[in-house]
Order: sequence, then C-alpha cells, then structure tokens
Amino acid sequence: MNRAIAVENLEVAYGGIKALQGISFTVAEGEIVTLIGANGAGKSSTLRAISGMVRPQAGRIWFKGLEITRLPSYLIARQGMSHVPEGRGIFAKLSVEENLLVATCTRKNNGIKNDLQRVFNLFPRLAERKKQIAASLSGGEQQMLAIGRALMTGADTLLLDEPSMGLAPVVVREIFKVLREINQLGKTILLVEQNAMMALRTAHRAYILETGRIVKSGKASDLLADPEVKKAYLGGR
Amino acid sequence: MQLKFNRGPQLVLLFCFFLVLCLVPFFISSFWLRIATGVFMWIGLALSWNMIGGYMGYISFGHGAFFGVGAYITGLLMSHLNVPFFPAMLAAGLFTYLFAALIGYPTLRLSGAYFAIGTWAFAEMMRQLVLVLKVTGGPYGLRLPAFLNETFFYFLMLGLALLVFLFSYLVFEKSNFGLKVKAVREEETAAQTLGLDTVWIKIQVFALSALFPGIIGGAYAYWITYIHPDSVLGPLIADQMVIMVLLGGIGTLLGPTIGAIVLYIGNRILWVAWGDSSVYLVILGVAICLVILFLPEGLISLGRAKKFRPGGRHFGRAPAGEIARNKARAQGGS
Repeated sequence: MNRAIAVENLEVAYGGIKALQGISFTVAEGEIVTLIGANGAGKSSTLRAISGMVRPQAGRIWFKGLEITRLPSYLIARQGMSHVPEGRGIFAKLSVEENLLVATCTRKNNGIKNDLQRVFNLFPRLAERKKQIAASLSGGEQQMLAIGRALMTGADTLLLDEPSMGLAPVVVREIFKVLREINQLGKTILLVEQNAMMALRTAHRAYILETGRIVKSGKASDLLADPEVKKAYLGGR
Repeated sequence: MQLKFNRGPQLVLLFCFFLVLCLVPFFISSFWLRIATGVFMWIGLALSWNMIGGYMGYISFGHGAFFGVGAYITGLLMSHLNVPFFPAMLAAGLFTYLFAALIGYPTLRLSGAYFAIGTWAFAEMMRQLVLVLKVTGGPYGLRLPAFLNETFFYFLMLGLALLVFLFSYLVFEKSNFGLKVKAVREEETAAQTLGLDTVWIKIQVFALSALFPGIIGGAYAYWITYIHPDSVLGPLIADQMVIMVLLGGIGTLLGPTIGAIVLYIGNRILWVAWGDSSVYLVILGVAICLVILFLPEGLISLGRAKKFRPGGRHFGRAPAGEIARNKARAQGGS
C-alpha cells in the first residue's frame, strides 16, 4: 500500500517545553491509524504539526509523497488532507448547510451535490437540521457536522482530534460507526483519541505516545490484547 | 447561490421606494435635502465599515483615515492637477483600496484590541501627516472647485449608498466569498484546515471596506468644497461608523443602514436644538450603553424578536437565548 502520511523524527516545542521528541510513523492509504496516550503525550501536537497549524522544530513530514513540513495549513488542506480539530471548530453562526458548503469553496471538481447527499446519508440528523444555525446543535451533532465538513472538502485523508470528547457513550458509538463507514469509502483516517478502547476497536494500527515519544506500536487488535496496554490505557480490562 | 428576486410584489415595492427617493429632492427644502444627502453618505460609510467590522469581525478605528485620504486625493487631483471630479473620485477609491491592502498586510495579523489600536494609530498618523504636509495645505486645509448643486450631490450620495448596499448584498450575503469571510470570522483556524487562505481573504475584505469610504470621501470633499484635517480625518468619523453599525445591528445588511439613518438624523435634530455642543456626544455615549445593555444585536433585532417571541421582555435577546439553551443541552452529551 502507498503511504498517505510519513513522519520522520518530528519535534514540536512550545517555548521551552518539548511536546514531541522525535517521533516517526507512517499511515498507509485506506488505513485507520490511531494515536493514543494520556493528556500531554503529544497526540494533538502531532496532528497540528501534520496539518501545518504548528511549525515543527525539527523533522520532516510527507503527504502522498510530497514534503509538507513547511507548507501553510491551507495549502496542505488543498492537497487533500482535512483536520477536524479538538473542540470541533464549527462556524457557530452559519447554518448547517452553510458549514458544509463553505468547505467546498476551494474545490474545483464537480460532484458537490452528491457529496452533500452522501454526508446527509451518513448523518441523517444533519439533513434534518440543515437550515438550523450550527451553534444550536447538540455536541454530538456538532461533531458530526465537523466530520461532514471535512468530507465536503473532498479530502481523502482525515485527521480527527478527540472526536469522542464530551459526548455521551451512545453518540460516541454512532460516531465511530460512521468513521468505519467513511474508511470503507476509501478515506484514510489518522485518529487521536483518549477513549483508547473505542479507538483500538476501530483502527487497523496504533501508536502509543508517552511524553512526546512513541513507546509502543502495532496492530490495533494486538495492542488490545497486550497486558501492558490493558493495564495502562484500558482500565485493566 | 443565486440572487432571488422572484417575488413580484417585493419588486414593485422596491421600485416604488426607489421612485420616492428620486422624487424627494423636488419636494423638500434645501435644509432637509442636505440632511438626506448626509444620511446616504453615512449609510454608505456604515455599510463599508460593516464589511470589515461586521462580516469579518475586525473592529477598525482607522476607517476615518480612508474617508479623509479619499477626500484629500480628490481635492488634490481637482485643485492642483485640474482632474475632473468623477475620475478624481474613482482614483481616490482605487488608492484607498490599494493603500488598505498594504496597511492590512501587517495589521491583519493582529487581532482583537491590538488590531483596533493599530488601525487607530494609523488614522492618527494620517491626520498628523496631512497636518504637516505643504501640498495638503496643512492646518489651513484645502479648497476644491465649487459646484453648488445640492440635487446633484443628493443623487450622487444616493447612488453611492445604493452601490455599497448592493455590493454588500451580492458579495457578502449571496456569494461564496461572503461565506468564506463569515467562516474566517467564526473560526479562523478551522477555515484554514478547509483550505481557505485566511490572510488573503482578510486583506481583500479590508481593502474592499476602504474602497468605498475613499470614494465617498471624494464626493464629500466636492460637496463641502473645503476640507481640513479635523473635518475629514478626525477620530469622530470612524467612531460614528462603528456606533452606527453597532446601533443598527453588526454583521447585517439592514442594521448599518438603520443605524446610520437614526444616528445621523438624531445628530442633526440635536444640532438644530442645541447647536454645536457636546450634548450630542453625551447622548451618543448613553445610546451606546443602552444598546449594549438591552439590544446587543442592535435595533434590527427588534424586528427579529417579534418573529421569535412576541411580547418577550428582553426581546432583543430572544434568538441568543434560544442558542444558549441549546448549548446547555449540548453540554449534557448528545
């Protein structure tokens, strides 16, 4: 399989504090890869560095063979990568439909209507609320909108930062079910999650981060069965 | 998205309204004609400021400078180089457009209060520059060739106000560009991750919002025939633009229009009653406090509130309250 994302010796620092201390990993096209770890492990910083929202101190990043280490985030997005940030980042005063349509503004290809329909099929609740302003949606619906909006850019790779954060378990299950469906449509997903159980059940492969370093990696199913991982991240289950 | 004018009665009503505006100069006194001309000028200015302040969310206190620079460029071209009025006015607009793009490049990297202070400093710098330059007449001001035709200036300002209104409607309310602008206002980082070049969008909006004040400044200079740094570059010009927009309803199309009408007519009535006194400024201050306290979304929200909650006590806040309740529900989980 071709590599969608390749990261080599990535270092990110905020002032004097090093968030990432030289991590390397790859994500193949069509894969779901998850980064799990405790708070402050560097998961979100990894996504932010890949999508160009923070400039790495050292290291290199490739996206579909193109080096994107120093590219601004809007140019990286135009290569076909969409980052759904922590906190969703929805456009609160715009309607659901406008939130989805604004994502198509830089697209040149046709098929916007079909994509909009596909998003509404994946998230029927968004279709019901398409004229409602985004701020009036529930947390789960806002997360669906953020994922739907990323899909509307036409991106083939999604970076998802804590999609389950602050949501009820039933909604989390619904979101992860849709993520698997999106992956089956051929999209590559790099997922950052604190809900390690859900993330490992959904992903093909996983990397475990601790204080800015990758301490373990492998098939998600293997890590699910790993006693150390169970003890540290899955509550011993 | 397309401009929809498929409702016949609305079109007829619009046409009648326009017809009335065209007939007004022939039925009112020259005093009221000047007030009507001033109203249109301020509608144009308030709508221009609304582009950057309302649609983009950047509070600029520098827009008085674009108005003043437009006035001076038109004045200089007409009085020193004998350029006819219309080309001079358009050149002024073009200059303020490019000038704003240049100023916007560094200042739009600032946000919130820093941007407001930066633009205010820029406006003050322009005023001081005009005061010391010989070519502008310094503190003695600049005299333009006189053209004493009140009806001409009425139609000129009406035309400019309609132009800015239509431009705002088409560009900010009904186009993809407007959608991008609102997205940047709401969440700049998220907009970047969708592939939007947010710096470029902000510069474009800032430049567009300076284009019309430049043109209107030129028209004002020709109308008044004499300008000096305090009359066209004073801080009160930008302050009034900001207050008109806040009073009427920021980020809307009708809000700044209503704000400009109410505030300018109010200003003139007070001027008639008390002459050039500071009473206007006191009332202005009180009006701002009242609007912020009771109508944070401006006078326009009175109309909207009726739709949402008839008879509600703090009806100006009805839609926001609705949002807050839903948000609270959202934090509950699903």
